[in-house]
Amino acid sequence: MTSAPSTQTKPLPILRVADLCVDYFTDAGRLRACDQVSFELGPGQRLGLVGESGSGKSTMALALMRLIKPPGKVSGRVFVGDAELTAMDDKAIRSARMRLIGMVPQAAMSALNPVIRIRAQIADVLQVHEPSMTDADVRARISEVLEAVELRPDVASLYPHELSGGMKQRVCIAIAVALKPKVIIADEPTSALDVIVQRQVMDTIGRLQREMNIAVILIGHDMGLMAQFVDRLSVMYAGKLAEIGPTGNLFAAPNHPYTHMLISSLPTLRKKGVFRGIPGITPSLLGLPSGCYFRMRCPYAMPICSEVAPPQVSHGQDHHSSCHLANVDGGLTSRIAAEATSNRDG
Amino acid sequence: MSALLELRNVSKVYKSGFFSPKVTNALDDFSLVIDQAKPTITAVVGESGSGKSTLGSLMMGFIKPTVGDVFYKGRNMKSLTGPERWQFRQDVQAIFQDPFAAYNPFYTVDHVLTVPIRKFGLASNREEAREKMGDALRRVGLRPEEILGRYPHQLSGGQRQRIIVARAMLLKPKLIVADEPVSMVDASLRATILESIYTLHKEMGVSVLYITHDMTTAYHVSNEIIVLYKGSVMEGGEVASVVKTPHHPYTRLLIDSIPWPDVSLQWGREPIIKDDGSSPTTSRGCKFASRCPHVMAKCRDAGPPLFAVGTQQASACYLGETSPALQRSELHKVLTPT
Repeated sequence: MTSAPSTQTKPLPILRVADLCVDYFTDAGRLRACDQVSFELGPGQRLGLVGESGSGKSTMALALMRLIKPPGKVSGRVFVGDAELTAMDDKAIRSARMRLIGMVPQAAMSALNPVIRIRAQIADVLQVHEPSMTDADVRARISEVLEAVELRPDVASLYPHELSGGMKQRVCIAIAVALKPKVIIADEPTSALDVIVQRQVMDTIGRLQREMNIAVILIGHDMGLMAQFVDRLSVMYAGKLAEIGPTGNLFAAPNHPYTHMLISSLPTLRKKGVFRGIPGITPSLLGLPSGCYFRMRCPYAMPICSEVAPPQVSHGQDHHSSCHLANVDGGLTSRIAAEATSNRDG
Repeated sequence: MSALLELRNVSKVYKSGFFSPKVTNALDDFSLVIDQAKPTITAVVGESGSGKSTLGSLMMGFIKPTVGDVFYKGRNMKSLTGPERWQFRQDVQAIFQDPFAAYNPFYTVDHVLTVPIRKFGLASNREEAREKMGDALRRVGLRPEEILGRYPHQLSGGQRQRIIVARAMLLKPKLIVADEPVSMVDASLRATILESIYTLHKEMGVSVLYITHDMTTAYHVSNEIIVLYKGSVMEGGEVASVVKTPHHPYTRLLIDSIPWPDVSLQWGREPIIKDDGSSPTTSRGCKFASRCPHVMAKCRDAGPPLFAVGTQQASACYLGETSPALQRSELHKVLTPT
């Protein structure tokens, strides 16, 4: 993505990702799980990343943390502030993880070691990164981070099985923010929680994001949660960014058919008993179609879609999409309107 | 009316520990009637620990109630004869949460379809069995030629879950107990699975007990809804009235916490009060008392009965005490329109 020249008022991005690719070499051939992903994130911004399972969103998160193991291969560049994560040696990246870029893992239930007290699990992060800390400092810091995630300090002496799902998730958040990183990647942090606990956990993440000015990347497949939480939203399909832009714009006027279908597949209060799934399944990354990867499931596919991969087109205001419809008169909006009219008439 | 399945003042208590047993009231004085003549989709909504899965297990006969009785076609489940039990197993089918764990990875997916055909003698020969399997798969929107002969790991979670729906349908059941059928499936595929459950209900007249923590999908598929909290019914009634005009403070909190996919609808107007453990855990007081913004002294002394706050809505809260009170066992009166 060629970013628009930054104006004076716009703060410098804290996270810059340029042409990030992740390739796996398998017996069946090369498989690109993350395909030329580029985006920028300002300090304290909230970016959402949605996509179906297998769309490459978790792979991208791991690549940002430089946690992709061989035979996976990462190319492209990732900067946090001025530090280029992709250029660091092993020692440097180990110290940068958690300090510059933290992560709240997907399954908080299994991310904690069941036979170690919470205190030791938080202390682990602190002692590795800041060996100069005294025991008293570590203890004080543990109480501080537990309070930051709205847990009582005496939770530190408990084992994971003594905590509820929401509390375990809070401990994971506490570990992620223990070193006050600049960026946090939260990979489906609430997918196993019920709505009220989900709201409490998201409130906590939101408050920390504001107070510590942390940029948050929220990964998930729940468009509802995204609408409520993030400022900017990106949609991933088969390893590529289909669309990225301000959340309000994406919901009001999506510029990629996949975004539109994701939004309309969700139940709302307005229309009861209307089910609109997205027909078809995600293509296998080993047998991707030519041209646009979404064309097999796209109701608006055109001849050009099977020939040329759509380039990224800007719609102003940091809003970009990769769809050939952007070059057609009226774009996606007019197609959706036409479809709605014909549905009404028919 | 003739009841297919009836739960009459059912409670389920779990005890753990030997010397000083810790008692958990998983389900407390619960009554429900599933009518044979009028198939409906009933949603049971609640957070983890609300007793919704206990309810599902009771209805499928996996566990026995501690207090109260379950009746199948008017016969107490405790005294069913062999053939009756066999009939019950065919009439009541289950769809579980995890579309991965439901399969044996060593067999092709055909296995989950051929076993019930064989066990219940649904087909007299191989061709007929094959035809039935194909038909069931087509009904849930799958193409048999793409599915049969494959192994579970070769299919997506959504496809696997739809095969389970097809399996349940094969037996032409009267009731399907679906315990969180879509919570492990991608949001974009949920609609497809719910649609197939809904179509089967419409076309084949099957009742569905839809157990979920997701109010939005409950609103879309079901006709009636029951909100559970810590084993007790908080509110119940026709789904649109409950979702659009929730009466019970807990239901209001639940609905307010739904992340609607709409940037103009902000969540979080209702404050969340943390549970300080001061709610009565027995059936005497209201279990939501310690988290309730409207709590009154009497809420802690005696649990409120159900109040019929609308023609098709009942709420177990003293805020509705000007409305006529209902017995706990009369919940079905507000559920099924008369």
